[in-house]
Amino acid sequence: MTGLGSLVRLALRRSRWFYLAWVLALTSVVPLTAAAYEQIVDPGNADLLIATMTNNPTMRAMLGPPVDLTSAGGFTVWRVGTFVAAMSGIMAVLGVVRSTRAEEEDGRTELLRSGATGRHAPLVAGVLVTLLACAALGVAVAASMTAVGEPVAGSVAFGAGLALVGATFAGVGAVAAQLTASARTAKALGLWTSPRHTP
Amino acid sequence: MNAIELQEVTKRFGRTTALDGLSMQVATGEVHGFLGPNGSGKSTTIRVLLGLLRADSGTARLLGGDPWSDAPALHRRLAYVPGDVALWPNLTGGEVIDLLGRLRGGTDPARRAALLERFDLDPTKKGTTYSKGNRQKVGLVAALASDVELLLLDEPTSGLDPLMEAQFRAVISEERGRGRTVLLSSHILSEVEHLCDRVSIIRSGQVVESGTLAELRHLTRTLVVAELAAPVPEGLATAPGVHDAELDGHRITCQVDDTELGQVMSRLSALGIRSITSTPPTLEELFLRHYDESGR
Ligand SMILES: Nc1ncnc2c1ncn2[C@@H]1O[C@H](COP(=O)(O)OP(=O)(O)O)[C@@H](O)[C@H]1O
Ligand SMILES: [Mg+2]
Repeated sequence: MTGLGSLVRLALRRSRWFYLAWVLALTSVVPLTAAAYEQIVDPGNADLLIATMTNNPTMRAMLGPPVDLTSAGGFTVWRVGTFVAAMSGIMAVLGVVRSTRAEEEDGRTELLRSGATGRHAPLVAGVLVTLLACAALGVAVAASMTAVGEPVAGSVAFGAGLALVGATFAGVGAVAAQLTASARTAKALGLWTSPRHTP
Repeated sequence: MNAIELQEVTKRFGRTTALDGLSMQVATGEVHGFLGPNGSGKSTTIRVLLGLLRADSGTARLLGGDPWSDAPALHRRLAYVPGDVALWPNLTGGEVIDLLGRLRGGTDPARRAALLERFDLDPTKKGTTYSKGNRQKVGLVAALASDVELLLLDEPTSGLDPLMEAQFRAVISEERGRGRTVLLSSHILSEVEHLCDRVSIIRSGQVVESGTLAELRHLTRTLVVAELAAPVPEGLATAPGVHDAELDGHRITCQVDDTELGQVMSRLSALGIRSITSTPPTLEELFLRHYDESGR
């Protein structure tokens, strides 16, 4: 893995705004949903609202059975958890492809590989940076959940779950990038395998 | 020892045979021209040498190692400039030069500065703002600023203006003086003609000719225009080694095989020469003959 350090730094440099935008966008959804819960559900109408949501067949079909709607955290994970998880998978697929197959397609990888770099170093660097972004997403989500007053354990579990979904799809993206000749098809293939979900 | 040694190398892309049993040697310390038209397999050969592609069959040796399995170690000792240098949009030219230098194990700062000056390149601009020519310059400065034994240059001057091409030629001449080995691919013959100790001519994935320019010219014909003291005898037009003769009274214009040049000259001087010009073939003509007459 000769030259990996330089390649990781390069991939970070190339994709920092891309990941920053994704992580911020996905992270903002979470505390916004939690805050909305606090506004909608006041102690007076809580029981009724919760019963309505729990028994609504459409919502159950789309979002799965709720585990705990009595807390903002439980509501948030139920309402947007799957969506954010799916999006983190999409971020990872697009991220890996953009720093591997797309770079190769544009002829930049060839220049790097003419230096003293291992044959697989560009791929490994791309995947590492995506994993880093997934971890950052997990940490950001856990922190924002804790910040809006949710218990630490649950917040961390939610963040870690999102990070792991992202990490899985970093792998999917890496495989897609190896199986296809162009970045477009790699992205299409990677996204086709992603969890599809309508919020 | 040869810096580059290729034996019967074959490389196919699906149904296209890019390299068809290509053999070639580049001696250490020489500037070697690698000439061929577009699509003849120059870039593929260089990619095999870089270990970016694996040959289907045949053997390739580079700086005494195996270009495929020893790639990272060998790459510290060489630099590569492709015909189309692709840059990272948000990195400056200087950052790219340093990155590529780092991947090779370091850049000489003094040489880097001198080369930027000579190629008149502003290293502070972002990749997206460079013209084609300036992108080539970034690649050239990155390659030339590192202290390597071998330069693999794949049509490196595409997009450079004539002034910069002259600068490039001067720099390569100096590199030869410092004992570096250079493989310079080109389809522009004048570029190679002035720079190279030896050339290999590639056509449809095979090296069809290899040698010094003097050696290659031996395979070719010289244009002779002579004004004689007596009318030119008809028989001269069909003499061995004489081609495309045009007789006009005392004047003859013909192509003469270089191997028969002595014979033809003595016949002409026996007739009495008033004036004579003989023009050695340019590489251009040499090239045309290869593609026109050796058939496809
Ligand atoms: N990656 C590739 N996939 C398919 N065909 C290729 C590829 N690279 C080169 N070729 C084909 O191999 C032949 C030689 O190409 P190349 O080595 O680029 O020639 P040159 O550099 O002399 O112009 C061409 O017919 C080209 O189309
Ligand atoms: Mg080429």
